[in-house]
Amino acid sequence: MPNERQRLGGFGERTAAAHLQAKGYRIIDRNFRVREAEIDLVAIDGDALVFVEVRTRRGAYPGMAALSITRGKARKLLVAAEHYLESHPDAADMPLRIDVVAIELERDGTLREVIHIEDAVRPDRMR
Amino acid sequence: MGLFRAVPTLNAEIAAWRRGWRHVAGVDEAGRGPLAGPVVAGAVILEPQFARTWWSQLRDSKLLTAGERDRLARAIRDECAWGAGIASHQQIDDLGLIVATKLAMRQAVAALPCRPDMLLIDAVSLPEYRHRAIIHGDALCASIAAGSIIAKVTRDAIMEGYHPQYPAYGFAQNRGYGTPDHMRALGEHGPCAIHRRRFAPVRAALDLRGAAEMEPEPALA
Repeated sequence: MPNERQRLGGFGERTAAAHLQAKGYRIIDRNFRVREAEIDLVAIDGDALVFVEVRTRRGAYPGMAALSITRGKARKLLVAAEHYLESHPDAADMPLRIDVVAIELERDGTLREVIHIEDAVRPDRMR
Repeated sequence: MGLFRAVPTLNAEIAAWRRGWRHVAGVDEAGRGPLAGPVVAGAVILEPQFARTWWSQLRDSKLLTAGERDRLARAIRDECAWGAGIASHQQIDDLGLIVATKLAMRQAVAALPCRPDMLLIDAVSLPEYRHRAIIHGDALCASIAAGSIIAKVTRDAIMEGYHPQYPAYGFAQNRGYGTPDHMRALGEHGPCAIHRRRFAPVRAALDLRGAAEMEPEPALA
């Protein structure tokens, strides 16, 4: 039985995937996991490979979900992206991007807003 | 991108020249995807006072024939300020592909005969320089296209140079990419010294050969 946090995360990921697909993205992987790091969604946007971090927050101050990427989280995303490229060398020549999709819910759990920030995490900003 | 590929322009360069930044370097990389060999970056400065007609022929290296690419590479090396940077297979294994790519780019910029006033880079950026990141830069920006040509011809030459040492893998033709021939040789002979050990197909070939002495995976910086 998944706990509340996992249910919320699962809902957020499905919502984010649907949002991206509506924008023409192709979802090619979900929950790519390596040891300590994870990428929620991997997608193709045109000719670019996009790693997507989904943030789901309930009852938070509007806009906060997107801002909750810490340096540590950004570093983990980079680690996971590196591992993804190592296991999929065919994809390594595509332009890369890390996007954030924030799913903001009202306190009662209804969907308030989906915020998609392209190129939200740059490897150089965390070094 | 649609059916019609955009021709690269000097728009980004002109905007920088207008602001008084004469030394604008376009930077691009080649060879993130291969299973063997280095990732190579190229940096090229197109200077307004030395404008040439052949600049209009600059394209992303992937869109050029080998002949066109070689001819343009010769023109760039003869008439422009250029630099190349190389991150070896070892550095890719040690640092990870993304960090190694940035290292190669940094070296390419450092190899330029002068410090650029500004960089034009496809997507990624080097924070110690003033820069503008241009998505699809190799297709849209002439300097970045020039950088992609230097990166590609430099890397191809390196891989051709490895061929006599490791003839089994066909590096002169596949440049280290995981072509069917390369994959077959990898399965037959196992990885050679310049294979990227962190890449899954290489690791799989190692495992297949029962190489239990594999070193622990290096931690990411």
